Parts: sequence; C-alpha cells; structure tokens
Amino acid sequence: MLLSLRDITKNYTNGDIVTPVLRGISLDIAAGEFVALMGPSGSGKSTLMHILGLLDQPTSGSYFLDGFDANALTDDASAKMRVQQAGFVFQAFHLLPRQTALQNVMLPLLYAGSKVADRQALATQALVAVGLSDRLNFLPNQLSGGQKQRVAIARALVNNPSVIFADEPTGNLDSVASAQVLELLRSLNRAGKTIVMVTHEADAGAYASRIIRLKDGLLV
Amino acid sequence: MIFTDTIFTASQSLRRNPSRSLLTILGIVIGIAAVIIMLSIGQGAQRYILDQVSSLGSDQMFVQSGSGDSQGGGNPYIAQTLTMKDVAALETNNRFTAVSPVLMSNEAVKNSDGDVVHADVMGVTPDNLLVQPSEVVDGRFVDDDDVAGGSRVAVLGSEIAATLFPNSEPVGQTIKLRTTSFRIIGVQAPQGTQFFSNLDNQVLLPITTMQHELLGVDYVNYIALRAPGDIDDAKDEARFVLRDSHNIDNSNGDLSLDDFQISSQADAIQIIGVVGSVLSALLASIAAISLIVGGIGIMNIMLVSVTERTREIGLRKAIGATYREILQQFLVESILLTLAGGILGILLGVGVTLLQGVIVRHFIAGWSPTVPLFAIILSVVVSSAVGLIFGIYPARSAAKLDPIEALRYE
Repeated sequence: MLLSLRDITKNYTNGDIVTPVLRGISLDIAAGEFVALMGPSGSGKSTLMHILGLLDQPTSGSYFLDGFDANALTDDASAKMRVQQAGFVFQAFHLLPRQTALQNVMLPLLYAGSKVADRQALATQALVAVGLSDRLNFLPNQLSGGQKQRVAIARALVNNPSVIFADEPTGNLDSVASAQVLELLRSLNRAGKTIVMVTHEADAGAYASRIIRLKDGLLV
Repeated sequence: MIFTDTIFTASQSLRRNPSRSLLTILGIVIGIAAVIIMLSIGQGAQRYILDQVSSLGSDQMFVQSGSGDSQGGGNPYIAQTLTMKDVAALETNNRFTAVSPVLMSNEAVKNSDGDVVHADVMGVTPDNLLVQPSEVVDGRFVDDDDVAGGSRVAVLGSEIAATLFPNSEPVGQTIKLRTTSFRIIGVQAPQGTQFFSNLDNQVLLPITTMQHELLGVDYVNYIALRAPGDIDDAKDEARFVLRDSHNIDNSNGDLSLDDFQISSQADAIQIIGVVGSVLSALLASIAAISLIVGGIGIMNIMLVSVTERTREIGLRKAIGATYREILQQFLVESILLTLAGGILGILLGVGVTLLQGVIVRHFIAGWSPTVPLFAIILSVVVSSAVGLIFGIYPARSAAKLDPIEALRYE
C-alpha cells in the first residue's frame, strides 16, 4: 500500500476544551488510485488530508507513507518527504502573485535542490502537461481561475511526487473550469499518478475511482 | 535549497518594494555614515596634531609650571614658577643646545593710524629660532642685545604686517600695545598655522621687554629646550638644574614635589594617542546607538513583512521548505537590507568626509581627513551583524509558522 492509516485520531485542544476531529480512521490507498474524500463541513476530511500529506501529525494511530513511518519524522524530515512524495493543490491556488507561471512552477524545484540548469526545462514540461505552454511568462493576475489552478497542478507535478493532494481544487472555479481541472486530474491519474482529492461536490467526486465518505470524524 | 537560490529569493522579495526597502535602511545608512565621518575626522585631527608635534623635532621638550604629576601646564590657576633665572641656569648647562623661554598674551595691536588688530603677542629670545625656525624677510629678528637691554622692538608676522601697513614699509615704523610703543625691526616670512593658531598673525617681542614693559610680570609661560642624545636623560638633567634653581630638595626624584613639569614630543604623542582612542571609543558608542535604532527599524519591517507574507511562507513550507530554509531566506533578506544600508552609508560617509576635507582645508592648511580602511571593513561587518542580530527574531517567527494555519491566514 502507498498510504496506510491505522486508528488515526486527531484532537484540537484550545485551553481546556478538547475537540475530537478524527475519531479512529483506518484506511489504505494503493498506488494509482484516484480517491475522493467527501463529507459535510466539519467531517474532518481536510484534517485527514493534512495528515496524509504530512502537513499535520495525528494525535494517535499509525501512518505509513510509501513504507515510511510518518510519526517518526521530525518537522524537517517531513518537509523533505513532502518535497519528494507529495504535490499539493489548494482551493485558493496559492500562487506567488509577483512571479510568472514558470517561476511558480519552479518553486518546488528550489527546495528539491534540483540543478539550476534543469529547472526551466522541468517546469516548462509540467506546464505543457497541463496545457499552458502558451502562458509560461504570465503573472497569476493575467490568468483565469482555471488557468491558475492548472499552474498549481503543474507546480504539484513538477517534482514527480508519488501522490497529489488536492484540497477542494474546484471550490473557487465555475463549472466549465471545474470540469477542465477535474478532467486534467483524471488524465494524470490515468497516466499513473495517485491522487487524493478532498471535495464536498458530488460532481467532482464522480471523477474519482473511489469515494471515501467521512462524517463526524469517522468513515461511513 | 542552494545558497544562491536563497540570495536570489531574498533579493527578489526586497526589490518587490524598493521604496520601503530604502526607507527601512535609512537608519543604517545614517548610522554607518556617521561612523565613517566621525572616525575619518577623528583620525584626521589626530594625525594633524601628530604631524604638528612631529614637526617640532624629537629632541625637543617643554618645561611648564605645575607639579610634575599634573597634566596641562597651561592652567592659569597654577602658580607661574619659571623665570629668566631658570633660563640662565639652563643656558649654563651645555647639554641644552637651545633654551627658548616664551611668554604669551593676546593684545590689541595699534598702528600709527589707529587701526587695531588683535594678535598673539609672544615674548621670545633669539633661541626661539632654534626651536621654531622662521625666516625674517625684512629687517632682523630679536637679538641678545634686545633681550639684555629690554629694547622696545617688535617682529611682525607676515599677515599682521600686511594688515597694519598695507601701503608702506613696516620696518622702522611703530606699533602700540596698551600704552607702550614698539619699533618694528623685522617682518617674518609666511609660516601658516600651527596647533590651530595662525603664526602669521603674531607679534614677537624681546621677552624681557614683554615682562617688564607690557605685562609687569617676571615669569615665563614655558621654556622650550633642545637636547641631542637620549631625551629621558636630558629631561632628568633639566629637572636637576631646575630643582637647584628653585631650591627644591628632591633627591628621590618624586615628580609631585616639583613645581614644574617637563614633557617631550614622545609624551605628547602618547597623550594624543590616548585622547584619540578615548574619543574614538566615545564616537563609536554614539554611532552604535544609532545602529541599534536602525536595527530595530529593520526588525520592525521584517516582522511586518513576515505577517504580510504568511501565506507565501505557508505555501513554501507545504511544498517542502524546512525550518532552516525559511529562516535563512528571511535572515538573508535582513542582512542584504542592512548590508545595502552599510554600503550606501559608506558612500555617503566617504562623500561627506571628502567634502568637509575640501572645506576645512581652506581654514586649516595641512588638514586632510582620510577614510581609514578599517572603518570601511568595520562598517560592512557591523551592518551585516545588525541585519543578522535584528533579523533573527522575525526570521524565527517566519520559520516556526505552521503551514496549515499560515495557508489559511487572511
């Protein structure tokens, strides 16, 4: 299994008040799957994705990513792991506003320590893969919402990670752009990428090969 | 992340907001410029004085009133104990090749038309030429007969001669000091300034005449001596002569029992060195305060910058930036800021130093402040250190951000 969760719980503590968000989740995701995490707001689907993407630590339970024990990783080690294994796509795109599409896509390569000479070619390749070969030197504010999200997907792809985590990738997009982005994710999945997508839209979930539903911190 | 990437990323962030970056470093620019200017002027002044002292010759020493362990014989509240009797005693010792007593005053000098010029009036003997070489271009200098006879004669500096007698030959004419008239016997060649006083605006009188006819005193302000050979030996010899002359029983050589003090060029150079380093330390500490203030400005702006870029930091961390990489990015930013401030400050400081050098040289010949190399190196090091020290807190707060919360930050 690429991703393997056992009895994961997550509590948020605010002073004396402990709020359980995940209440014991066991889950396996195999390489090559396109999984949609679905559920109403507050169900814990984003928290689950953060744990899967090594952005957050569970309160208890075990998690293995590609054979590595995630609980044993230090902050810096999980940062290094994220560079290699995970690509992120966010609802709000999170592109750096004063950098061109190409520069935005090159960003993960900086932290991966890629050779300077290779970066431009790798980033261009990723932008070509998402169909933006004619927008390399555009700034984010010169791009449409759908194009921005495709730049973000290129950025997630550029280090060739084993999993792409997408958190509500269509949440800020109209239906046409949403369909394009989801189509792109599906084609990447067909080319072999493992994708974990959080969404609350049934239309979006329909693109996935498997749907995992959460409610009140438990799988349903 | 490769280090060149860190530098590139940091400089990119700074260029994004050039006017803010510039305003932020203004404090550092001014602080560093102040350090450069103060060190340059301080060193320039020190070297100017050292040059003047060196020009006196290393075989010169000065006898002044006051006890041997006090500083500053020019103090008017110290009893003036040196007289022409001491001068005579020193003259009989052939160890001393020049014995030049000097009496000083500032007087209004009047010509026959009633024009008045204020000038330094010095009572001298012919030996004055041996310690303060000068040329008389017209007429003659004070001679032994003038001193012995108390002649009412005067030698003028070139400038005061030209001021008082613009259209006529000064030699042979008279000037009036207080109520006494003096016949002009000579005019000196231009000499410039020494110890910030203008030698060309002075009037020289025979010292005995000045004592008795002008001031009504029998002391001299100081006695300049020249002695070849070991200067400390010669100092001891002069002390021996003067203790005899003053009837001081001081067989142990306790300087505090003496009523005179002797200093040589070497002593003066040492004192100037001490004064100079104390002054430099004082100036440096003032400048350090301005750099601290500048550093706080940097810290403030860096904190603002971290807050503004919370989401950027969150994204960088999400895609794999480590604590160290974020820390480095922000530290390099603040160091680049202060280093740029340091370099601008050096340019400003050097510019101001050169400019004031040109201006001051009009008033004081031989004044040439130069920017010491160590001041430039110090400025670069200190400005980088300010960036590092005041950048640590903002950089740490950036590096510690939780990626999830940072990405949610509105």
